[in-house]
Amino acid sequence: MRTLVQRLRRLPAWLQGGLGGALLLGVAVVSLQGIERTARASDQVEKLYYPSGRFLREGTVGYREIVADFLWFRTVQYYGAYRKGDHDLRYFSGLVDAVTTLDPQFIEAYYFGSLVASMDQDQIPRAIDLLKRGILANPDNWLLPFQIGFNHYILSQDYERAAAWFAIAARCPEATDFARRFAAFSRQRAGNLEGSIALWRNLYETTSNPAMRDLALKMIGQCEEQLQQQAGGLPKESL
Amino acid sequence: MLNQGKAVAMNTFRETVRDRIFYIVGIFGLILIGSSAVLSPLTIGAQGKIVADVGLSSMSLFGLLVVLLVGSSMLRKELEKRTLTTILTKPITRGQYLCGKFCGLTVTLLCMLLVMSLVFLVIMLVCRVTPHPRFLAAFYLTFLELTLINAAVVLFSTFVSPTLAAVFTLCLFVIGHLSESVMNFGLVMGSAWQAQISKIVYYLIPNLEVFNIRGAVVHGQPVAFSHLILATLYCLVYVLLFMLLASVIFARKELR
Repeated sequence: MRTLVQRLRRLPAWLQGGLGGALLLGVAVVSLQGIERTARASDQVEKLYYPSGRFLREGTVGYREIVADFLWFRTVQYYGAYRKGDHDLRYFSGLVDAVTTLDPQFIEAYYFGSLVASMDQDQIPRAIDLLKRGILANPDNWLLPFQIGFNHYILSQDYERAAAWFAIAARCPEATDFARRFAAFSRQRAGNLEGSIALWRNLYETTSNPAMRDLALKMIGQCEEQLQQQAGGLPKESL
Repeated sequence: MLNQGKAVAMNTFRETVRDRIFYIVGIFGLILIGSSAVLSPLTIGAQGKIVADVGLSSMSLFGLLVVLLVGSSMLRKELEKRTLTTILTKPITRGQYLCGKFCGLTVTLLCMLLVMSLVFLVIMLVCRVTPHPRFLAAFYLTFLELTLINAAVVLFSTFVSPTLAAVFTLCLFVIGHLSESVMNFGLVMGSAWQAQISKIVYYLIPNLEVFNIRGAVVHGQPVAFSHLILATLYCLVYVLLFMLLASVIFARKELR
């Protein structure tokens, strides 16, 4: 040991410094790895200590949005770890709630939160509640009511409700034709053919997309045909 | 009379530039580039929002840091170096001297914010986020907020040590952003006198949320022109009040 120290002392100063630095860095890396292992084990506990969104809203004095962004990163990482199989999604909704309380206009958080709640957690009512909260804060955003309609259409297969939400989405200022098309499809699927025709007609009259106009025309024709069949009349082709 | 104040202001500006305060702009740029480039895979469709949030918040935060660090020690430095006593032998009043100091730091803040705004706009364009003219309103209101805080730090530094002046200013900043909550708290407490006291506190302390339109701007909400005008007036009133109070206190201060 003594000879090793003596040999080291004989080394040039820059090498001594370099070796010392590397040794210290090594110790730092090993310590950090140890800390990370412990943190990973207690990751579930960590989420319990995230304060509620309401507290954070007061405590972040003017910097709410940036704290919401930071929590958003944590939410995405938390979901990523779930996808890797590290843990379940027990604290996911709490994180999304905190993000949306801090920044009620954070549309992506509502959207992503509702997707995870409905698809991964199988909690459609919770997904819809989150989206409804989003609509209260962002009444002009079409994506949120559209997503509720989507949940009703695909997951609950409640076409009448889906159509109602798609129609709400279609009335939003920046709604695309997409929303109106879905509203009409849902009405048709639910058997409400008059409602469906009205929505398709609205789309036909207001869209600037020629392909969409053709589609609307075709769908109006189909609905009318079905209506005639229901009424016992003959289909158009046979006339 | 204006010239003396102008000379002090120019000198303060040069002094802060010599203190390499603009290094902060470099750190700001690095944070912005980091947030836009490194964190973009984590944003899930919110990259534009996050770059804008980080940019606007960092501008305000770094501005606050400059005010606290530079503003709080501005007077003490000159007292310790005895330059203050030399300056005051010239035909300049103490009030003019204080105003000059305040204006000098305000000009520094303005230059810093302008450079940071340019960096911010360039990074937004690089990230393919279209900057809306509303962002100019956010820059302007951030400048107003920092000007008000600057006046507060000048006031506090006339009668307490630099550390205490920085702490007091930070407290004012926090309370200023929570003043609405203070009033709401008083209103829900139930008793009439508590509601009255909280109302008085609310109107006495500057409501700094007036200058915080960052969230609205990032989410594309409109900002009324009248809001900008009234916020300017609100800021001017408090700056005048703080500077008048600071001049009165400083005029009575015994300089050794």
